[in-house]
Amino acid sequence: MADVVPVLEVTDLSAEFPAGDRRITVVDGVSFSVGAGASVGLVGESGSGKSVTAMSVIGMIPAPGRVAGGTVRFQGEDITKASAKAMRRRRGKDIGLVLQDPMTALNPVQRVGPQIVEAIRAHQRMSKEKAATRAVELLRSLGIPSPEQRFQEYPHRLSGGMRQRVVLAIALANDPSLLVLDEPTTALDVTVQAQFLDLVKELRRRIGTAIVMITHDIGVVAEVCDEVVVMYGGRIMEQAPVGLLLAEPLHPYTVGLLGSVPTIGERAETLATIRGSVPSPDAMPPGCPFSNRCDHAMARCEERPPVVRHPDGRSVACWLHVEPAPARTPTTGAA
Amino acid sequence: MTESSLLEVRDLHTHFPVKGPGGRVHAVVQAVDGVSFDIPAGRTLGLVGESGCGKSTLGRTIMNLERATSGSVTLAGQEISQLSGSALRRTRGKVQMIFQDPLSSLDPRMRVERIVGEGLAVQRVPRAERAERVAEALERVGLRRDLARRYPHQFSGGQRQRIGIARALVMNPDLVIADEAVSALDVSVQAQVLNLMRELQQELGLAYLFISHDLAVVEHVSDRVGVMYLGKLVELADAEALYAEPLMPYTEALLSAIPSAGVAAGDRERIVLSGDLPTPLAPPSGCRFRTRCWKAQDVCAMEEPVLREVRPGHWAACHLVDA
Repeated sequence: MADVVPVLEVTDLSAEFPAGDRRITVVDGVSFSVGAGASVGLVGESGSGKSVTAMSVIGMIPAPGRVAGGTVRFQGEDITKASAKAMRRRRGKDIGLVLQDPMTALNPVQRVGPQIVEAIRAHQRMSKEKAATRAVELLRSLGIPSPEQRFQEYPHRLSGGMRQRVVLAIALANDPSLLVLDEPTTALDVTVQAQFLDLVKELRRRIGTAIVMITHDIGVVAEVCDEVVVMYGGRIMEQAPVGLLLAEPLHPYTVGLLGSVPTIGERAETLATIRGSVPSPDAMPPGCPFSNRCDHAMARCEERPPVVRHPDGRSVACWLHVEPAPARTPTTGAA
Repeated sequence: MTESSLLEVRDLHTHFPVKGPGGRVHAVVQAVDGVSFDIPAGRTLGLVGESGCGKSTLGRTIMNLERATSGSVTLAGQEISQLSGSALRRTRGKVQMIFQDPLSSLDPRMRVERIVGEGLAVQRVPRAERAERVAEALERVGLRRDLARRYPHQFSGGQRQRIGIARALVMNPDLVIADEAVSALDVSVQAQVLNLMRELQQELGLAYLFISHDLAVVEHVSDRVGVMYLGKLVELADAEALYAEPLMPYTEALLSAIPSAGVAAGDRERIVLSGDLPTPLAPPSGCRFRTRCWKAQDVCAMEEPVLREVRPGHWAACHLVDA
């Protein structure tokens, strides 16, 4: 055991949603941890459980969903059972949150400056004037030109990229130790996305906040994160340092995912594809959820694959990477 | 031109008046402003640009869903931008469109057979022939013909986009305009649809106008690529040339902004543009990109650069590039 407590430690997390008289598990046995100043990307397609995982972590899983098992430790403290009130105090203070659409995160009828001031004063005893100064500083540090004027603008007067910076300013208002970014650049144009990602990278260097980033875009992860968690069907398929994952993906799903994305400068006639499409959460195959789309599927895949850990920090949940079982001892009636 | 062009777009403008109180026009959005290009039969022109650059309006104008303010659109020698009524209905079969969101572009209360066959019904194709052609189109996009009796909600996102493609194919078009046709799909499904579109092109000799914000996807599918910025076509070249050697600073910035999963991504030097797109209501004078261009000089504010052939087949609208 390392003596440094990670900022976030998720262990065997499960979340489920009721469907009629049944329960559908949408996050199933997810474990990962984020150290101070580290950044972890959760990658997956729709229905992979990446967002529900993140929302469970911050205690914001939408009802009627609920965390069904496992623990979430924040700075060593188990927050899985924390009250809604306690979680609310933590969010916005210790944990900053940036969601996909900045327009839903901002109040459309309030000027942006007061919204940042409100975020600061909700968690700290500070005069309005001091908080306003701090808000302007935050805006300036996030590369917003003429922050004193922007302070007075309504959200609709700002561009998408500027709005997302305001949301980031609110998330950072109380120097959080963890920043959760859920598809933060998906609604942004590519040149604006590049600005935003550069900003996040710079923040990491400057203030050392731990980052959990949820995205469907593996390119975005490669830009910002050290570690990638690839999810599918509510489970972790593979987990590895970014460079290793891109250079040598282990799980057939990761291989398929990387092959499906066209790469600039490599004109292939046809793209590698994964056959079929993601089943709905109530129709996931038993055992490995990817087995019905996997070209390497075998009989064993109907059982849940164990997580195989490599010494270089990678881990993969796939029977292909399990050392062949010791040859069966000839017991009675083996044929 | 060595190949004869299927589609010729010349100096096309699509402007939208902005009306204030009392219905007075107080501004004009120049959504498409003087765009010219050709698409040869069986080829793909990719069109890239950020939101608000006019790429979708351009596609909709060619499709005649928006009326061109001026300029011409010629399909196989026939001017189509000013058609209406029955003449428009006749040519519409030749140009078909695939939309971004298959769920909102398919009527949820219609069975697939009716959705796919609607264009044929408008053209008064007899019912029996219609059913057969619908079934053929479904099979061509990889759906079983008996699925024609189902409703859109009974399909996955990728299958719905196949239905959208079948609806276009059933008309035997020469040109298909795909507007962000794979943007709403998960990447594994996106690859399936892109491969399907390529197969269909090879089998049927379709030409595509492929509009997308995703530069990697556009490179993958296109023979030629056009880059739009605030209503203007600012660069046009063969896909390989454009991606290997962009001439216009905007294209350069756009390409360098793409987050890359490539192993060597860290070694690239990135050009990060400052600021956002100016509003199309009041585009900057001269070169519209100059307010964000790190190379801009005095001339860029004074004169509007024209799109010129800087190298054989490689066109750029920039004062600062030399042959």
